[in-house]
Parts: sequence; structure tokens; C-alpha cells
Amino acid sequence: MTLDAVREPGWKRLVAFLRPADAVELVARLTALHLLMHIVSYGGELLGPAGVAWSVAGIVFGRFCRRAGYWSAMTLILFARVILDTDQLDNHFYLSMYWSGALGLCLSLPREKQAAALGENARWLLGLCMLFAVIWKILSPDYLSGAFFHFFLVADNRFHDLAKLVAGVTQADLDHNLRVFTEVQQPLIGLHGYAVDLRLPPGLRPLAVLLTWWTIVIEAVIALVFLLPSTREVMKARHLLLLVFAFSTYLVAPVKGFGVTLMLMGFANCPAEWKCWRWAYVMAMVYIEISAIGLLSYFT
Amino acid sequence: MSINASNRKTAVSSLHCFFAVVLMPVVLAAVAFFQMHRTRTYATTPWKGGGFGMFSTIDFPPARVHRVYLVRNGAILPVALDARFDEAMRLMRNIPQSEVLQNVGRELGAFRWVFAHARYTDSDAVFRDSGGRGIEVLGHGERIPDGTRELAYDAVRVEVWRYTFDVAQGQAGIQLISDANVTRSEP
Repeated sequence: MTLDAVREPGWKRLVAFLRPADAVELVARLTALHLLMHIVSYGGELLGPAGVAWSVAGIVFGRFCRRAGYWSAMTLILFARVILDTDQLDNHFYLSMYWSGALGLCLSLPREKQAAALGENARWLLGLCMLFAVIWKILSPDYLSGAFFHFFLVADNRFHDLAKLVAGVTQADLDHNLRVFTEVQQPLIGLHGYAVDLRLPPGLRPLAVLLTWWTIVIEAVIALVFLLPSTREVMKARHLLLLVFAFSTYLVAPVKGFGVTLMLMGFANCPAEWKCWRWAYVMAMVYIEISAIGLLSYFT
Repeated sequence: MSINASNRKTAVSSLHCFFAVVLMPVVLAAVAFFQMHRTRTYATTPWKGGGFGMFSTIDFPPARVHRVYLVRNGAILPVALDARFDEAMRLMRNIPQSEVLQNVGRELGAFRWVFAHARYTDSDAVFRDSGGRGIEVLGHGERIPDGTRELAYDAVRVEVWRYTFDVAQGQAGIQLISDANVTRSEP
């Protein structure tokens, strides 16, 4: 996009943004937009504004996104944040940094090899990230016992709508449990021997068990199909499962940053001629954005 | 171009392609394994740090709490820190390794605390009767306000706890994961 294009009406700029030279450039532009919306705009004293300015430059001057140097600089900004805030940053920040690095590396290749290399990067990054998520769930003493979802359905407000809708949890139950959590945050209250009975309606257990097994099974299968060598059947299974994962998971737990990163990678891994699947990924990105407003809350 | 030069160019190009595809996945795996090691060794939360352990355990950052105590002649007094300490406390809860707690304890030991002398006769009375209420921390160099006296203490104790949940009993509890006692150096 040129300086003249910036002066064009908004809709023309939007069309120009969504009509890049090829799919790699579209992925790059969408990644710049995603970084702006979900990653670099959160925190970081100097690096936050630097990341915002850099992603805005990529969005406004779309051709920047086609350059390896642009993504190398973006990766450096994200890497510096990781070094400074190693234990504070969410995992989707790391995943976005790897993705940004992959874009930089792939765009340094000859043009005819870029799409395939980016697709392979997406395959490995997605497969490994799901694999580690599954390993953690197996290793965690809280997860396979069902304790994690049992606890989170009443402790984390992202799950409250689902708990109310499916498990019959009432606002009074949630308020009681919330009091427990806020009480231990009071600095003068002694903690030795502290234990409190939570209000957990009977409908919670089957829901927690269902979520526990659904999540680990779908993540394990996604890890498997993304790490298996590519055949036509395996590739179709990859995209189908990843989209099912996105449409089911992010309705309940709308973690936009992670979800959109996964969808960008799925899009990049999709062969150019599979247009329907690519549109499904675009729809999934829109869906993840919309689901963050709390779609389930309209039914409770 | 000679055949050798052409072969070298092809080899470099293949190597370039190989690294372009392999480098980021290898970095992801290395960071994730390192994060696993750190979680096991230093009790950092699996939710953060690039290990992809989110949504696997109830040990997430808001489920960790800290306690700070002043110690005098074996008696301990819980104290409430104000918002100035929030960031340091958040870091300590996320990385509760022994060295971090020792450093935090040492830093906290450099602060002075005051109590209203109309309410308590001396420091021993504060430790015995106050339960941590009615005492305030002063900033470095801040003068002691009128009507208050400096609290005498020998050491600082810091603790980091995490939530637990017994699914069979439906009971939430809390478990100590790290603590440190730091003797106060002479001001």
C-alpha cells in the first residue's frame, strides 16, 4: 500500500488490505493486525509502544509485511519483552513471537518456497504447542482427577456462564465461593490449616468430567495429526479438528490472543486451492473475536 | 558458474530452507522444556513462561497468595503492604524460589514501620495485641509522623502459598510452597 492509498476512503483501504499479492502476504498482514489487537498493545513500558508503532506501520503500509526485515524487527521487539517479562507473559505471547520469527525466516527464502515453508512452520508450531499442552495436562495432578475444571468452573469468571447454563450453578453459589477466594487474599488472615467447603452443585461434576476429557482428547488428536506426515486425509483431518477445537473451546473460554494465533497458523498450513477451508479459518477468527464479548451470557 | 559453485549454492539454499522451517519449532520445544524444568525446580506457575501449561492446573497466578511477617524475639506479626509493593509481590509469587524470597525479605527489612503510641505502649505490645492492624510502613527517608513511634523488629518472614482443591471433599485449601526468614541488618 502506498501513501496515496492511505488517503483513500476507509472501505477501499480495507479491500486493499484484504487483497494482497498472495496468501503469504495476507497471512503476514493478518498477523500484523493480530499482534496489534492482542499482543503488543498489552503492557511493556517502551517495547509496548514500539510494537504498536511497528505493527501499525505493517498494517498501513501493507508491503512492509512482505519483507523479512520487518518480521525480524518485530520478532526482536517481542523477544525483548519475553526476556524482560519471562514469567509474566501468557503463552500466546510466546507463540506469536515464534510465528513472527517464522514469517521473518520464510520471507527470506525465494518467493516460490515461502508459502510451503510457512505452512510447514505452522504445522510444527501447532503440533508442538498442542503436544506440550497435553503433556502438562497428563503431568498435572489437578487435571486428570477432574479437579481443575471442577474448581475453574466456579473460580474463573470466564466459565461462570457455562456453569450456570449447564450445571445449574446459581449466582448465590458463585458469590459464596468468591468470598472464599477474596478472604485468603486479606494479608492479615492466617493461612495455616485454612480450608473451606465450596458450594458445588451436583451438575458440576459431569460437566467437569466432560470438559476434562474433551479438552485433552481433542488436543492430543490435533497434536498427532499436525505432527504426522502430510497426506490428503491427514491434512483434511487437521483442519477439521482445529476448527472444531476453535468453535467449541473459544465459545467457553474466549482467549482471543491464543485462538487467533492458532487460526492464523491453520490458515497458513491450508493449501492455496482449499479456499473453503481458508474462509472457515477467517470465519473462526471473527467468531473468536465475537465470542470474547461472552456469547453464553445471553442465555443465562 | 562451475559445477562446484553451483552445488555449493544449492547446498546453501537447502540449508537456508531447512533452518527457515526448523528453527522456530526447535526454539518452541527448547523453551517449553526449560519452562518445565523451571516449574519443577523453582515452583514457577505452569500457566506462564512459554511452556503451554495453561488450563492444566489450578495453580494459576491469581491462586497464589503471599504473607509478610515482622519477627521480634520469636513473636511474629502479619503486616499488610500497600500498593507500592504490588509489583514486587506479584513477581515473588510467580517465581517463589528461595533466593527471590531472601532478596524480598532483605529489601523489606530496610523499611521502618510505625504504630500509634496512644494505642500501644511499646513494640512488644504491638506484637502481642495488634494482629497487624494499625501499623504503617514508611517510605525510605520519610520522617516518623507525629503521634507514632517506630516499631522495633529483628527479622522479616515471607511466605508464598497456593490454592489446593480436594475434588472428593469439594474443599478448597491452601498450601505453603516457599518461605524465607531474613534477619534484619542494622540500619
